[in-house]
Amino acid sequence: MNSLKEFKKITQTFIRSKFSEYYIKNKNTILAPSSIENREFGFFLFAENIVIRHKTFQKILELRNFITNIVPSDVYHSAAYYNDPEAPMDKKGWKGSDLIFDIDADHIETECKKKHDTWSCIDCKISGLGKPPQYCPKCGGFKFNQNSWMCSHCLEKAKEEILKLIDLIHLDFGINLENIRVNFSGHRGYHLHIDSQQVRNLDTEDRKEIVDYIVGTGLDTNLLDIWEASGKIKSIGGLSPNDPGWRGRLAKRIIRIFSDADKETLKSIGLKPQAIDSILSLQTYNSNTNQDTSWRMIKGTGKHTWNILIQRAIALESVGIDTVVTTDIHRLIRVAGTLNGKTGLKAMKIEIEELPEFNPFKQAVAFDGYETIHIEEAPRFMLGDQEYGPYNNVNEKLPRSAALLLLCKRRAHPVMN
Amino acid sequence: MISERDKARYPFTTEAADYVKKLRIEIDDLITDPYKPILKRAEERIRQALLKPDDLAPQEQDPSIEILSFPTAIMLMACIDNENVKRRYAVAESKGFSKKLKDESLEKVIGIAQGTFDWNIKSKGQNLRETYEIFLHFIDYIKNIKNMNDLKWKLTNRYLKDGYVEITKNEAARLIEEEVQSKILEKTKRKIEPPKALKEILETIKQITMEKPVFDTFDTPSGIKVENMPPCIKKLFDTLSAGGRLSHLGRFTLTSFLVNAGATEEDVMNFFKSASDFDENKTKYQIEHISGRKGGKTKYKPPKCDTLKTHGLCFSPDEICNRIAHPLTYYRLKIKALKK
Ligand code: SF4
Ligand SMILES: [Zn+2]
Ligand SMILES: [Zn+2]
Repeated sequence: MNSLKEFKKITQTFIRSKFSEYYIKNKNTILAPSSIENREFGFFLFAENIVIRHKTFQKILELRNFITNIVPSDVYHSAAYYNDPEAPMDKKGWKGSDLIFDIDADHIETECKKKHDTWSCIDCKISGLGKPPQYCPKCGGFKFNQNSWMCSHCLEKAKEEILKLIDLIHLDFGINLENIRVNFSGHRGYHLHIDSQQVRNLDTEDRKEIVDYIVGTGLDTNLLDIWEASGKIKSIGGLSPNDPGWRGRLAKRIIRIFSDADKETLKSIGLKPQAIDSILSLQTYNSNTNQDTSWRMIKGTGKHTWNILIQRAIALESVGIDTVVTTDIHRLIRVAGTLNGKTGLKAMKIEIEELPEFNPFKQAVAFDGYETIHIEEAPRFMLGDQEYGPYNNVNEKLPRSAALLLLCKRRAHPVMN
Repeated sequence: MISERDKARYPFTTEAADYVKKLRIEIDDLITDPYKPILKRAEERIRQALLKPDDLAPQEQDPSIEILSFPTAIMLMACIDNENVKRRYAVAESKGFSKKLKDESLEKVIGIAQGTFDWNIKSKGQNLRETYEIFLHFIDYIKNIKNMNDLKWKLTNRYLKDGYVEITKNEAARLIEEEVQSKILEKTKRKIEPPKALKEILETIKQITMEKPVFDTFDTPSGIKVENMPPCIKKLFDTLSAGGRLSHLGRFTLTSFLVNAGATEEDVMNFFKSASDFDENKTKYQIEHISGRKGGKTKYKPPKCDTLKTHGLCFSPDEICNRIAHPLTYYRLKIKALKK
């Protein structure tokens, strides 16, 4: 029998050979970041734990040839521009960095994670579903192995977040759409790059301020000048959907909460029955008139209700970015047009107009043909137009992209004949 | 347009600097009779800035002396080997300028912001909400709010549209203060070899810096290891150490952290003495209150990470931060890890 280690090696060799074929055919789709000569490149190799860093290329052609020759599992470039990208970190000479945002399904709460993600404690090996806990319930350890799955629902959520982010970056920060580039990571998320002279020199602290705005950190409802008119019906002032910045976003969101509302949702966020009735009776108003102000007047509410609504609106408007990525001015990010070693899918650029319709399970598929593999265990999943699984200890002949996904995810190994 | 008088009042402007350049004065000239008043005025600037910052006011009889005394004072400060003193000087001078700027016309404030600091300002036009007077590009805005801890400055709480933030004239003056402060700091940073000609006056200035004990470089409260502090506390600590200002919550967080981490009241007090807005009685009261000697007798704990996060005080959390919910836990974990 083959030992586990040998299986792993055979699998790696197999994936690498498929990646190699892919790059020979498609290397021209690998995209260069701007000012390629000032960027640092990094590569993960299939051989375990080997990383090549501090590489530079003068031309995209050199990068493409390098990738085709060494066939790495993952390819990254620095968000930063350096005088000497090959030098060790402290001697590189930082010249600036693109402004980067990372939206990853890992950071977004979804119900389905409890079905398709698992963790296991490194110390005592017990495992569970969903996100790992802060401390292991059995041994108190805090290091876990995570096994996450790519799921269309989670990715759909990530896409909603990236669309929210684009809206905010464009309308509030006034960044031109031409300077915004969106990439699918090839796994569980999206990256947004702002590549413009304007933002290049922002330091970590500046980027933190931008991050805080995007997440809604430090938003002080006392500063919003929200006032309450007294009288029989308490009405709320100080927020208008036409206001720039967070105020306008909050007002728009509250109106949306009202018009989408049903009893259960309103109850679940902690509103009192009278307020709920009052909100529900207003629904027709909101959708029928344009310049409607009726949303400000809800019977049986006071500051308390408004605070609940505002908190809810903040939570919904806040964009779920991985804040650490944006503030790190030396970050490496995946090169568009390369393969993701965790999935065998393409990391790729997406035109903003096409983003709403983008389906990673179709458009990021990199391989055609078929492959027979032995699958240890995998949940049901979609790829292309087809549904697969669940599998348990079987040999299957699958489209190559599905087979590679399972191989990359270490849920399967090649069948030797 | 910037007048002679303006140059004297705002000698940090490009116009004032150009004026100085044209005169081509050498250092050795400064000790000759005709220029002595400049040196004298520079010394006075420094004395006021360091000892009685509230008295700092331009002397307007002779604008050229006033203009020249500013770069001269900066050159003198560059020869002083004490970061804390330099910081105090920069804070006092820039505060003095912004106080005066607040009384100027909107046009003048905008003129200085654009002419000297190259701010990207959109023609004030329609669509400004009442009380606001200027559209300032967010990049110039965030560069200058680094030392502001009041939540009203946070971008999140501002009107931001198409890349521009709405601000008032007074806010613009306050932001210019930050520009001036960093400009002065940058210029006084380069340590220059004290020119022979200035030996005498530099002695006088050293005397001035010794008049207040608070200018001594201070020590970390004993027993507290800076390298074990969580990033948020380290940031507050560094800000204060560098002479910066903290918000109320920031001060509370830092003080309660230090007290809970085992620093004595006296050590914390000494540490706060270096703060640029140090007020002995107030600080003493705060520390005693937090450590539980006054008032409720309970020792106050620093706020939880969640609270610090919502107030924007959680700064570059690291891996350890993922495992904790309170900055004190971070500190303890780190000490534990080191003992292993
Ligand atoms: S996570 Fe907590 S301890 Fe870490 S930096 Fe943020 S507030 Fe401080
Ligand atoms: Zn365990
Ligand atoms: Zn899911």
